[in-house]
Amino acid sequence: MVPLRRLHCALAAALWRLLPRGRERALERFAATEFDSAWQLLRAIPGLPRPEDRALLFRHALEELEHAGMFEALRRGGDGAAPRRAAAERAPLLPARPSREELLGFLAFFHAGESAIAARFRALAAAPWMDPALRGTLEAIGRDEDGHDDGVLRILRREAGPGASLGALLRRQRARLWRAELARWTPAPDALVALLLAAVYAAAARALRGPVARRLSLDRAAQLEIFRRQAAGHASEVSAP
Amino acid sequence: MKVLGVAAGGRRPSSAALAVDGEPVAAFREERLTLQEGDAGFPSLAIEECLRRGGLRPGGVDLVVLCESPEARLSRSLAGALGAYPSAGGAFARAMRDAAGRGFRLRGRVSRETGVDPARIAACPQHLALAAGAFLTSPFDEAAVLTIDEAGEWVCGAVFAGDVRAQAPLRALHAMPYPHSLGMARAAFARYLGEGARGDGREGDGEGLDAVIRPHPDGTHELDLSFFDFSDPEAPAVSGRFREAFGPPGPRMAARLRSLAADEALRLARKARELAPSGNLCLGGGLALDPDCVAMIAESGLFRDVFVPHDPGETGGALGAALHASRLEGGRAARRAPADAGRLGEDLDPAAALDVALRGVEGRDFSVASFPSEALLLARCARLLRDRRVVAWVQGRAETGPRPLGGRCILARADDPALARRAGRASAGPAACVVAREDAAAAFGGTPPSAQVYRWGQASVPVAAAALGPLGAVLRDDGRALCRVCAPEDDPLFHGLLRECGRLGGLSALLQAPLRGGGLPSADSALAALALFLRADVDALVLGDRVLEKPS
Repeated sequence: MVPLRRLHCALAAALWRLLPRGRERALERFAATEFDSAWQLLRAIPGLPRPEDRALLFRHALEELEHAGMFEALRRGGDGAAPRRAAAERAPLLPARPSREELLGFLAFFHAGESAIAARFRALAAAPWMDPALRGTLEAIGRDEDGHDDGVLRILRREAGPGASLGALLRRQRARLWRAELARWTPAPDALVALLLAAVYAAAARALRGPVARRLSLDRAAQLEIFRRQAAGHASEVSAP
Repeated sequence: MKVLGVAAGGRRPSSAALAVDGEPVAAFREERLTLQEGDAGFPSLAIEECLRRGGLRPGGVDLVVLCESPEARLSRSLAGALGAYPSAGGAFARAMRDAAGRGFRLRGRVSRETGVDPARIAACPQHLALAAGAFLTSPFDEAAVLTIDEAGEWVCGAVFAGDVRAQAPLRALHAMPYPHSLGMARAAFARYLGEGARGDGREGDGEGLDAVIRPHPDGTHELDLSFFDFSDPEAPAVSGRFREAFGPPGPRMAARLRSLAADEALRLARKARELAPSGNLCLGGGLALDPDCVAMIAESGLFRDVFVPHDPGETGGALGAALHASRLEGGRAARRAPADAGRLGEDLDPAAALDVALRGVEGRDFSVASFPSEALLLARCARLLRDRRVVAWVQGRAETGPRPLGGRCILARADDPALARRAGRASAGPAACVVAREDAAAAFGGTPPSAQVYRWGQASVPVAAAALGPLGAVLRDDGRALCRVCAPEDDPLFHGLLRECGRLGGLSALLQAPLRGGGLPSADSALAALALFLRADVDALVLGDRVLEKPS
């Protein structure tokens, strides 16, 4: 796994140099990932039973925000504002009033995620074509992520109770993380879909030229009438038993 | 009768709002919960929060109203792209993907997440929802209602007559058909102006721009579509012909384009006055977020009073759709919206954040003091502000829309431009002034033309000569300022703070900016506010009855 990750990171670092906006896009993705972690932690903190754990995760959240700012600052060459795009649609990993299983699942998933990110950042920092500014940032953030990983694992061990085996839980969560990662990287048949849509576009534009032109040049009285009918339709839809 | 309004169309921020027996209970923008600016994803968290605020379980809602018909929206997007064949292949593909990814599945997903039977999911025409959001949260019994937005289904602007006594409180009188959209034209101009001047002296001066938006015989306007590229209605742009005719943007061009759009908005307001002979006007839609446009209409003398809801856009539409359906169902018995409809967002739980603050951030230098008496809290906060400190103010429920209303904001003295720059850097949001009603006449030279329009800070106002110094930090080059007038009945605590600041010297006025910064696009929860305080350049955080201060 480790040599494969090294190879992947070395190729990624080389690609960022070669592709237009490659480095910028990578930094944007890193910033979004770090910001997502901070957001997940801020959402999860009220659901943790122990005050000292809430405090620890809040410190982690502050550091994740800091990391997002560092990546953004590198990307923009200036301030570290919030990243513009989320890594994915944001859905909280931990519900507002979690059960014990949900809490353990969250902690295990977060631990798996943090260790994967830390390993990735270390591998990227060691990549031969990495630019020095980004290398320094990745090394610093990788160290922080290791700390987060340890902190979350401590909470997880305590919450699971003495003697509890975490192996199965961690394996399940690692598999979940892999599935999430694979879903991101599954090559969508984009080219095929684009080709198909282009054909549909051309055919539809020819077939519907007349009705579309008429609809787009509707006079105002007719448009008002349609709008009134829609409003009346809405009223009857609302009042339907 | 519990009605949930949902705005989840296209690439604009999504929202949800809950009305119970005709009264607004909750309204959330998804972006303020996901901390993802402009989040246009499905508003799962907003719906969840609305249900929680209403004490409802999934299935507890009687009716869900989408504040736009996804089918009509799709037909408009497709027609726009097909009409622009062959240049709109990208827009066509996006419309098809939107339809496959969300449009056709929207009702199903809403049903799954709310537990409501699909037969109880209705779609309200978007401009009707926007008009309801403006009129049914206004203090008026009857009013003309004008909505101007980019493109909602097939209508881009509309005029209604509003009568609160009628069971169907809004009657459509005029509809501006797509694609003659003033909102899209403004968006296209903004995009063009955003490209910036080249500084080579070849910038256009705006001569001949009158041909771009022409008067229509019905008293409104029509666009010369050859100057625009609306093939993707979500990303309107000016066309190559526009660039050839007017050249790259320059400062004179910018001023001319802004006044052109404002003039057209005023023309539409005149139309509204003519069609719905009421002394009152309610404004909804994206254009109502332009403080200069609103000021122009308010100062025109066309109307006795002008009202703009706190969020005239998506969240206002979601709330409007819910209120309107409540009215249709509950008839005349439904009550009017309360005055605090602008603060229906996240509630404050300071205890959790303070617990974290006291345990979790040791090593960071700040003090925490508790003020069980409101008077002592206000006195402390006013003294901090007098001493030129920048304060993050977090109280009660968060604002629904974009303007701070005393729930979540960054505050500073209004007379010091250096502080304005600091607050602006911390917030990265527009700075405005907030003035206690008692001092509004002194600040703005007599009674403002309309009391309602300044209540929620939706208009700019000329600053009186005597107040140029005291409001120096928020004064624009044209001698105006974006302003909110705070009355004791709107927000007694914040009004008390303003009066306390006035007691310490000068006007009862402060600079306010949205609570954002430190890498956070908004900070509605107590924990997010604490994170912002620790990371951004603010000196103090007033969180409920606690004051957290960094050393001077």
